Amino acid sequence: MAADTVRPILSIRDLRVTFQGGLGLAAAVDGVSCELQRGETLAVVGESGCGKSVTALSILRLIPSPPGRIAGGAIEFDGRDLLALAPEELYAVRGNAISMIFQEPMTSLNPVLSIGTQLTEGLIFHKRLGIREARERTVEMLRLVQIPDPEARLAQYAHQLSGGMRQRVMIAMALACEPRVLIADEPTTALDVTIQRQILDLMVELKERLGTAIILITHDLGVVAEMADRVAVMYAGKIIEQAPVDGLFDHPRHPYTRGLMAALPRLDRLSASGEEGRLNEMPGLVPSIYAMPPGCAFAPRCPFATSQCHAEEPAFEELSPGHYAACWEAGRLP
Amino acid sequence: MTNYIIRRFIVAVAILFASIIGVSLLIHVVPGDPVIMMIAQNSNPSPEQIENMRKALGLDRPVWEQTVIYLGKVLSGDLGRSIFGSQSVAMLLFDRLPNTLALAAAAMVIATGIGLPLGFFAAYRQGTWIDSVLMVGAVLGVSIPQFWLGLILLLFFSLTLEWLPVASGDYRSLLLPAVTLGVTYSAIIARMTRSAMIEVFTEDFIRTARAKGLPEALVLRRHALKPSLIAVVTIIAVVFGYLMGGAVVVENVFAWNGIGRIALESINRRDYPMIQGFILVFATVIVLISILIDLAYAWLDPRITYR
Amino acid sequence: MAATAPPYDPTNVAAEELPRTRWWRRTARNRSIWLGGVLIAVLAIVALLAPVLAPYDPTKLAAGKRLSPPSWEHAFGTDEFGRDIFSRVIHGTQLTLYVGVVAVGIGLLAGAAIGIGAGYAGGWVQAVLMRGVDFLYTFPDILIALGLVAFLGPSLTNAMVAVGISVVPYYARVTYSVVLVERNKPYFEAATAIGAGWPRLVVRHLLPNIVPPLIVVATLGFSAAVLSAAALSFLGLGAQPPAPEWGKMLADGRNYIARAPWILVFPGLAIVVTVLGFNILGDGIRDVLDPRQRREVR
Repeated sequence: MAADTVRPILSIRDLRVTFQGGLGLAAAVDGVSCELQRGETLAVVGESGCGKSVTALSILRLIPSPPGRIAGGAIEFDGRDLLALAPEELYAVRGNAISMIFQEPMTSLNPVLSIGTQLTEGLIFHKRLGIREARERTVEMLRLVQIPDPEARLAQYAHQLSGGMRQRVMIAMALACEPRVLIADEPTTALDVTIQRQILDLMVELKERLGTAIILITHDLGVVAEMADRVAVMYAGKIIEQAPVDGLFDHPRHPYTRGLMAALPRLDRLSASGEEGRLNEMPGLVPSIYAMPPGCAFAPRCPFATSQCHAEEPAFEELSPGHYAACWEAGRLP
Repeated sequence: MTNYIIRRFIVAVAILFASIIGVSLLIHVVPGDPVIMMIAQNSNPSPEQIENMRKALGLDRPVWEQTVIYLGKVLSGDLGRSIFGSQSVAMLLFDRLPNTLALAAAAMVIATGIGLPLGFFAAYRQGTWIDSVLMVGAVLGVSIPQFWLGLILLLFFSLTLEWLPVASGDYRSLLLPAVTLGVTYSAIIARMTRSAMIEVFTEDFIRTARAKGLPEALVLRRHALKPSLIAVVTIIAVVFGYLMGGAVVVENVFAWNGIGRIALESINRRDYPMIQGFILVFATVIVLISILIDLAYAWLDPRITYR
Repeated sequence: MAATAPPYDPTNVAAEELPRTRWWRRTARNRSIWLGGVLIAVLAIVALLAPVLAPYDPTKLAAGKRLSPPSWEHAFGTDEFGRDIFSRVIHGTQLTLYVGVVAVGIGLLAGAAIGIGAGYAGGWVQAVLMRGVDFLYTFPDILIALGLVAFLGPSLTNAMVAVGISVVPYYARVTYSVVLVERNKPYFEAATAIGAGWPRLVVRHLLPNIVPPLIVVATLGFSAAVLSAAALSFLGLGAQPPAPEWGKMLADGRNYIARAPWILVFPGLAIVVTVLGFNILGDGIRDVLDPRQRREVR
């Protein structure tokens, strides 16, 4: 579905994000490039600390700075480089053309402002709606995300809602201006299993209704299998494999991706339980971003690593149509 | 809510009772006969005079009885009589209390007016040279003794430049003591505000507001300000107590006619009924302010429910 | 209850959260600790060597030299009795540090004892002790000190004791909060179960956790104690003449400040330098010991 679209809606080219830490300067994202097609769902997976959230935050320039800094690259949206926008132009994009859902619905809502205020302010700012129109539209959105008694919610505060309700509010907030891209950073991680289910179903439904392209950041492969069209696997600040979802699950090419899959329980149990679907741990540790090995970052943990892997970084190559991986041994793996 | 206020008042009354009892005990724990200490400074009393004084002050009765009698009098608004000139303690104190409150209020306005914006700004520019300069200034500010700053301002503005009167009793003579107190406490407020603000600025909901596309000024005004007001109320509550204490000292630098000045006179003259009354009035003010602060929380923070 | 956010939460300070080597490296790299430490070391040396450093007897009157401005002979000038202000300021260092040490010592020992007692005993002992602490905490320190001196009578010793008592709540609260945290940890129960006596528990397990936050409170508290004691002396309730106490020097010289501003300048600067030194050192130590604070400062 995505392959025939000519121009991607969002394209990230050679993004580099550094953090100034107590131990020196480190690259949390190191040369990430990828594209998002209209209406597509791209899942970005990887262990925590691999740079997936930093990549997501960089798109809307939400990296806390200091200590973070976008050190290089371009993020093109609709023919414009988001990284080069003036503040006012950036504000016009944020929450309007591109919006974002965060992991923690509890802390992501302002505790001392009413739900109504927080939901309507984006509409008032971006769409120049009056307060009454904004409230009507908001009630509509709350109904869309299946919140019962939406009119009464507007006067409530975050602490009066359950975790699932809060995340629905966050989704309603993100979708209020009908964005063309929605970035969801682990939207269900903080929720319990049955609520996760409902939220994911809701996102699929809304995506189909509104035609929004989604970047879904997760470490839950079960969610990926269900939601994504395409998957990018990140490791140590780089994308190391990228493929259509079926291709990736059928025939993973990078040993790291295989490790992730091998750590999975049977596929038929994936969707039933979030816990078991999570990525399990592989032997070894992710290298510290302050001390990257010279060759392939995965080589120290890789059972197939050769001396070349330890010495030189592999190129990111197209191995079959639409399926890319960065591995010297990809062609020789069993 | 009503229940909470009632409970809060009960605690307040308990604190005031405790301070009355504490002061009564103190008078008796202290070495030396208070009566002799009180009057021997001024004259050579005869034994009968001492005995009469003791009776007049009720000091011939057991401690608990004295305390109960004092409590009873306090409840009927009688704080006793000064041993000099036998004026009513309550009258003297309430006559001067507005002056002290005016000084404290003016100082608080100056302290928050300077401290809040600077602390806010330092936090917003955290880690930059502006932040460093402001925080060095704040450490310096909390290290300056108020009575010294007061004397310097007095020397400079009243004696050298002759802009302000040394002592006149009107609003112009309020200016220097209020600035003295205000400047020193603005440093404390700036430090506290900065760390409270840094916490607010790193909250997830600030990131959400930015992600929504709100301009930075609106993010700060609408999303950061109110949560930080809660922290600010806490800060003001803490500082107000200190400031009242500082006012007692500063009143004596500028001869400002508040209760701090009577307190020092009374201490120097060992006028125990006055000292006792001063402590009680002061404690009442502090306790009432803390209740007001708690109510301010309820108004600001929807999460707080008073059971 | 009202959600109060204390500006400094002592329970966040725990030595065990940091490996010792990093602790030392951070201490050595902390500029505040160096600056404050050097200032205080200089003051301590001045105090110790005061009789040697002071060119004149600090209490010797010289009627002919009243209110003479700073000169080669009298670096800080002379006061209304012709006494050498430089010598008085130097001798005042002794008094100030002495007052600070005694006041902080009283607060520290009494506070720690109350905190440990309340935290360990629980029950009504805890209720009585901590309610008492809360009661004192309600009032500004200077007021408590003032109230105590009012009844004890004016003298430097009484001022020291009064200031010491006025700061007990800070130390008691910090100690108590650490004891509460430790008491609920499994090792504490285990140690009690195998019959380890409480002195051993206190020395082996409680103290190492209590000491770091107390160091921070005591260093910053030293500043507060010096300021309170100087204020009491300024009000005439502390040091008595002819003691070269800085606050008292300012009070005695206040009628002459228009004619002889040096009387005002130097004792005041001495207080500022002392208080500043302890404040800077205390801030530095807190940065090193409090991991939460460290993240903020970065």
